[in-house]
Amino acid sequence: MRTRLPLYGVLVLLLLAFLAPLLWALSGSFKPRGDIFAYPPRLIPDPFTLDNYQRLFSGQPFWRWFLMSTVVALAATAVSVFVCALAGYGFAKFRFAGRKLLFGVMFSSLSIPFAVILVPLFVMLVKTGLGSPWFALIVPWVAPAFGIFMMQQYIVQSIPDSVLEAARIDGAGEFGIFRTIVLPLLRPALGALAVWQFLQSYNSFLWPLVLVSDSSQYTLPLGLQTLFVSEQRQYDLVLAGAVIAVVPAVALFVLLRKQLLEGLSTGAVKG
Amino acid sequence: MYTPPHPNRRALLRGALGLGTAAALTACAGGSATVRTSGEITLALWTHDPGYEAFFEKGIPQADRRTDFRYHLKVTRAGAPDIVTKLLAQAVAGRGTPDLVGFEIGSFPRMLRGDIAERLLYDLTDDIAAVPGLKADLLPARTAPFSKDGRVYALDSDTPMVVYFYRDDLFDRYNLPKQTVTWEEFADLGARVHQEHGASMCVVSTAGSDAGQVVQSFQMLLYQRGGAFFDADQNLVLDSPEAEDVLRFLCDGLRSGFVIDVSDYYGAAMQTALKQDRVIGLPMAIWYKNYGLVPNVPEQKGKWRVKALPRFARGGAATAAVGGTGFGVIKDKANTQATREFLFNTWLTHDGQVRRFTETGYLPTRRSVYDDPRLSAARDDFCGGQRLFPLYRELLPQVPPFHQSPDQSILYDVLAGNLLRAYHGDLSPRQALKQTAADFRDQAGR
Repeated sequence: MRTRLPLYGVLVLLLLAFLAPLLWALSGSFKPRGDIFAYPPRLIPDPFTLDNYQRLFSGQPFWRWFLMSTVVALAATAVSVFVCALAGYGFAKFRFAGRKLLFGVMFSSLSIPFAVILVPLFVMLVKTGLGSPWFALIVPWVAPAFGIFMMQQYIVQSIPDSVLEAARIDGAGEFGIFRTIVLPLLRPALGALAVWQFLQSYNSFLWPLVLVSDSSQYTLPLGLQTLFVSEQRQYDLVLAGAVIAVVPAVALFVLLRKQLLEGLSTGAVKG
Repeated sequence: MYTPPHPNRRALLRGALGLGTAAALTACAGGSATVRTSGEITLALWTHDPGYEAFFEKGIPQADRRTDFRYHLKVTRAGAPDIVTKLLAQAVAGRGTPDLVGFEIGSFPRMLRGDIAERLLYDLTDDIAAVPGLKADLLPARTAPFSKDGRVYALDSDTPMVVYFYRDDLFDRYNLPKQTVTWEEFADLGARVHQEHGASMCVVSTAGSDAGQVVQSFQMLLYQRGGAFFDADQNLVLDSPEAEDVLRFLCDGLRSGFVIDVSDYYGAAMQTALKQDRVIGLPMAIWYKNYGLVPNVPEQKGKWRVKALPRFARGGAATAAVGGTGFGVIKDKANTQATREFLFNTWLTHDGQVRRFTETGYLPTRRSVYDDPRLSAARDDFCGGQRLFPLYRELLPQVPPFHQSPDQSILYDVLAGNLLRAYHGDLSPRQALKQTAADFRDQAGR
């Protein structure tokens, strides 16, 4: 125990360093604007005020932004987790013409920054009549190459062919095998992917920026940024908004923590 | 590894039907617009600044009286650079462009590349010429940044001349004269004040993530000194004796403490410096009062004053101009005519320009409006009741011209880096400017 004390000390320091911005934001959201950058800084707000939150809710369509972000991110997560699992399963367990080429193309797309495909993707959706925000905010995230790759790797490592062959001999259909055997076994990886995917969609800025012009359909990152535009940087409102914006991501993490940790540690320990 | 059976004919047909539907939807996209000439109309306005939103909303009754339209506004707010990104993407997709767009001046050069401005924005030149006396009345220094090949694509919101903001109470306490003739004398005083009181009287920004802001603090004094980034033909003219003078002045000021470096003019670092009385004055464009001082140090209301900049002993003007937002009209839309009329009947009217100053703090862009007694009479509470407008009117003839280039963002990026290296003493002012010019020519190819 004694030999580990220095390690714990370092870990506590690191923890404080990582928590400091969050604590500062939380503290600042309860301070009057003029106190946020007061020197020396005070962690405990004095005076304590809820005014920032009240003004955030009354002066901006904050709850709409929040709802938009949360619904879009949840929908994108649900669909993408299913699609990635299905595609990953296909790549891992099926032999078909062009499989290697297709997988290579999919894998290489990981290296393309989103900004490069932003405009062509937008034009494609608009020209096909699918550019409505509710639809277009979700669609680009439903088949991320990273997710498919992650699922493929997990399935290759964790699900033996013999299990699937046994199911086929028992007369199970292909989709039935996927639904009743593969998906339950994939649960840890699905949890990890869900958290990653939710954060990707929830924090997305560039795509909603291009896509959405109606302020009432803004997502949270876009909405919060409007509080920061021009030189009037409303740190008080932004901090209050940021504190609330963290809640769904933290809630999802707490909910899927077990699966996330299992998913991330898969393959780390030799069995 | 399992080998699935080949798809049957029905599955192939289903796939083909899906592709056909997508193709049909593609063919249906797009449509034509009928030009609206009167009646109820909703204009889509994009801006980065809530102040403009309020201005145009209040201007609706006046526009309704003067035109055949009944206006409504649908406003979208986004960051200044984001507006251009969004506009270009929407234009490429052929849908969703606004009717009226506010371009922050530093973001507008992206519209000057190739024929983007010509293809996307309505050319306001003939409309300006059609109003008797308007062309001569508009300040060329404020139409030039939004022009290309002599055509005007946006109307500026401001004549953002650079003045000196200072803490009147602390200038008194530190026995500083209110009128100093030259920057050189002022810098000597500043060095003394820094030594005795730890305060600085000039600021440079070192926000590494915001090249525009880093450049701005140098740009203001460069233009005042008579230098520039680009000439009227968009050629780089930065590497000049004037630029070297100004950069050396700032570097020397940083060493003596007359100049302080802060990481963000509008944010935490500056607010702290102001609250701690470590910054007791700075050269800045007039809008800084509303967007920098008032939000950051509201408790210092009444303590600030504005005066003309000291001059450089080796030449230059009494002021410069930094910032501004040009409002442009998207061409070939059903609402284009209505938008032009709205802009001309709110933004450019005499009363509209007076209102712009009294409500948003932005100076008129028409010379004749400067004679309006309402402007001269206006007192500013934040500046202790000072009448600011007579000073601005006096400085107006000296506002230097301002030209932009489509490659401006490249210059800002390379210049910001080299300015910081000069401030840190890693490069001499001469080396920093030479390096900037070389880097710019490498990257911009001209």
